[in-house]
Amino acid sequence: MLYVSLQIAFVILTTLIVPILDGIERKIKAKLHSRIGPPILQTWYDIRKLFAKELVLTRTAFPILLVSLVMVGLCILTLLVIPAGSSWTFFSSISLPLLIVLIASIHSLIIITSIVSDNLYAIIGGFRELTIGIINEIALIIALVLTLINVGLGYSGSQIITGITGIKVSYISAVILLAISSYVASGRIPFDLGEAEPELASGVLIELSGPVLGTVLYSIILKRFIFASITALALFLPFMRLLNPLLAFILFILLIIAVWIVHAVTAVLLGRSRVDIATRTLICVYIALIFLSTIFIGVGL
Amino acid sequence: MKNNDVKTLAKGSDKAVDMVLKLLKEKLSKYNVRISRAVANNLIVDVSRRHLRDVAKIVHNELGAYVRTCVGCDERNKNGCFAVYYIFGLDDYGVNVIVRTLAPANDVKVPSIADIAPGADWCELEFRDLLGIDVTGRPVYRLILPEDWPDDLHPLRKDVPYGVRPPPVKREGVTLTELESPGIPVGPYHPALHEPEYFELYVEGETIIDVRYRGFHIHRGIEKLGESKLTYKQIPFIAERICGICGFCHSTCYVMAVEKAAKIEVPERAEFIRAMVLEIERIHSHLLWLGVACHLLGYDAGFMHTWRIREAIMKLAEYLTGSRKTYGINIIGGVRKDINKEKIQNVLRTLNYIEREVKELIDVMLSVPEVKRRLTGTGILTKGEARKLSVVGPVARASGLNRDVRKDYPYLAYKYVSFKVPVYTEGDNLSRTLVRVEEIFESISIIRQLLDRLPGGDIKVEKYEIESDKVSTAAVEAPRGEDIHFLITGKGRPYRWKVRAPTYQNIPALRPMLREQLLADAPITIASIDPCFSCTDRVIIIEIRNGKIVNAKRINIVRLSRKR
Repeated sequence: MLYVSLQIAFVILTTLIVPILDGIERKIKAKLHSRIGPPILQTWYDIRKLFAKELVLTRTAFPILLVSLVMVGLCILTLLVIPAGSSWTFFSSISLPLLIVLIASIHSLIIITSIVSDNLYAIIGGFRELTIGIINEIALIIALVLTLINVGLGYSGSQIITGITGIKVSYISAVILLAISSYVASGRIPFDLGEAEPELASGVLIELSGPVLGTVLYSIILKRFIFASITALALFLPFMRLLNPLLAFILFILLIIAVWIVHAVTAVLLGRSRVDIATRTLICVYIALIFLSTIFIGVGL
Repeated sequence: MKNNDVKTLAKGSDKAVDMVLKLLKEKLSKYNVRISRAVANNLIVDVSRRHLRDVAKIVHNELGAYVRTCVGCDERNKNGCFAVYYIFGLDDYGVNVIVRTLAPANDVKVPSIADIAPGADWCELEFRDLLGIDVTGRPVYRLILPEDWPDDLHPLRKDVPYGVRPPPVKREGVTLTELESPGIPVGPYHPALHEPEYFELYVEGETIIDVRYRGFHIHRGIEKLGESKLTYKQIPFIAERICGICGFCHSTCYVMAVEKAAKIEVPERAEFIRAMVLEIERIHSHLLWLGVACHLLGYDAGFMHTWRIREAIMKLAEYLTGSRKTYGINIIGGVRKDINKEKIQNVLRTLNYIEREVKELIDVMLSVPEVKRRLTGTGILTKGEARKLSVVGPVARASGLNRDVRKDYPYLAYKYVSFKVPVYTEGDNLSRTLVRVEEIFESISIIRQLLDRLPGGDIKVEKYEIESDKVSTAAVEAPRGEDIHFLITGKGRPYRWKVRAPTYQNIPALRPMLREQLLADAPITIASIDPCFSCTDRVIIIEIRNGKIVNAKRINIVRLSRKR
């Protein structure tokens, strides 16, 4: 019962705090920019304002609204699959494949949102997302599998069992791969190519307004939280069984916030990439890390 | 002329002017031309329309001059003709060669020289639009006036009153076929552009294969205003408002043109103060540009920190002139405000701070991998193209042209200071960035030298007379490049006042710069010329309501934006 309560608390807490986390990110960015920045609750105010606007359902906005609502639903479902710091999970042995399917579905829906629109900027943005997405999703899936292999993960009923006996080099390289691919999937600079404001005028978001835009923006923040959670989970897995469920839950949430902050700071330090440079760079980095991780696992390091 | 003689020559001096005069007489001897000396470093070559192209070929191709601008003028009440002035610059001598040809009022046309000197392309279309002087031997189209402006009304003619508002002319729309309209619209309102201009980028995948440009959306009629309503003394006020960034360059350029025409000896102290404020304006402008470039490359940390540093230079400007921007200290004959010892100390302290901060920022900025990779090898303008299009400022210097008005046509107090003109040969976005970065440090050094050598004495001349019918030009090296004002004096106000801002000369270079580039690099490439559309557009704004010719993409945008 405690596990179920914690998992439900995790989902409820997440849906409430993600706009605040985004507000913290904006505040951190402002601090690093030497400016004051908006209040921490600004993202909440923005979403509230967008939902207070008239709902204009154009020929393209209606399917986008449906898609974005499904996207929010899928994000919440994904949060249920991520074990909230405890070794218990709702979906037991199917949770990893389910997680992969859900992540792929969220990305596909974002791309569909842009392709539904007949705006040139949105379409270009959609194809950029697709290009980066295909490369990154493969790396993300491999990274998840490699990480789980490293922690010797198994399932017994609804319990996750980690067989890790110490931190290995192969585990570190797999977590690095997972951290990079999660960061790329979060759609922050330098990989926010689908929304690249100067050339694409917000790209995939250009045709959206009011509650539709509000829903899409909210789902994007939820998506960011999910990817921060995946990195946090990979870091947390070896210690999962050592802590009591409540302490693990609190530490896990704090770790997610820490990962989010690292993501925010990284985004400040970098500039926007270009679709050809980004794909080339990612392919090189991913191949190198996958190769290294596999070698390390093979030699038992 | 031996090369060594040219190298040791004091540019713009009487000796240099005499040498060019001799050279022109020699080269143009077989044509029926009259060569005379106008004020300062200007020579006027009067040529018939029949020989205009021959003379242009010799001046542009054989003497290596570049087109600074061309100007049309309605001189019917003087000689019954329209006049066209092509202003060529000979950098090696610091001398302007103004080729003048007349077109009688009953046959208002001149042959084009745009195929010989492509830098004259736009200004020919400009005088065709504004004065109705037809240009033969080239494709013509409306460049400046709005589509619904009447064909037979030319606003800069002397018989057209200031403020005329003709009813819009209805025209048939143009339907573009699918093949004609695959472009990606960038503008007139777009986050990559900070002023309204329109670029249509034709792409294959994400690679740009061609570019179409339509500008002049924000015409304000400043030249007409100066020629018909304002007095000599009022114009510096409006000239400074041509641009929100390099306004002081424009007012300096205007007052220098008047001072040259009226042979006013400006006190040295005023020349030092003007040069100092011009350099402050350059630092401000380059920092602003660096910030915008960072923003366009998605590096907002660079954007914010550049503008933080820029704030110090704005405070400095306020301290010296009373205004953060649009300084308002230029008057004909000198400047309004003097500086004292306390101000000098404050300036030096602020410059030390700016120098330190900019160094640190540039080190960090150019170490960001995305910034460096996206600037390197993108938006290339070759030296040949740069020379052909007569581009100016950092755009020219980044493409290997060692061109700087401060050195080539010395003015104000620049002859008393030493500074380096940064020149790069790569012609890419990184080169244009580095030219601006180096210029910031050079400007800091120039201000220090000027303060160190600041002479005493008056800061303005109170009494002067301005004779009519004097032809004068003045050029200032604005942050974006050469700013040139052409003036024919009149009674109480200019008879003709033409402003040519650097962006006007640099925009045509965007076509070769954008071709074969990726769409993602279009914003930074467009920004790399540091375009200022308010400088470039100067005629009259008209709201287009009905029957206009618009391109298909604009129709699409409007329809989409209104569709429910």
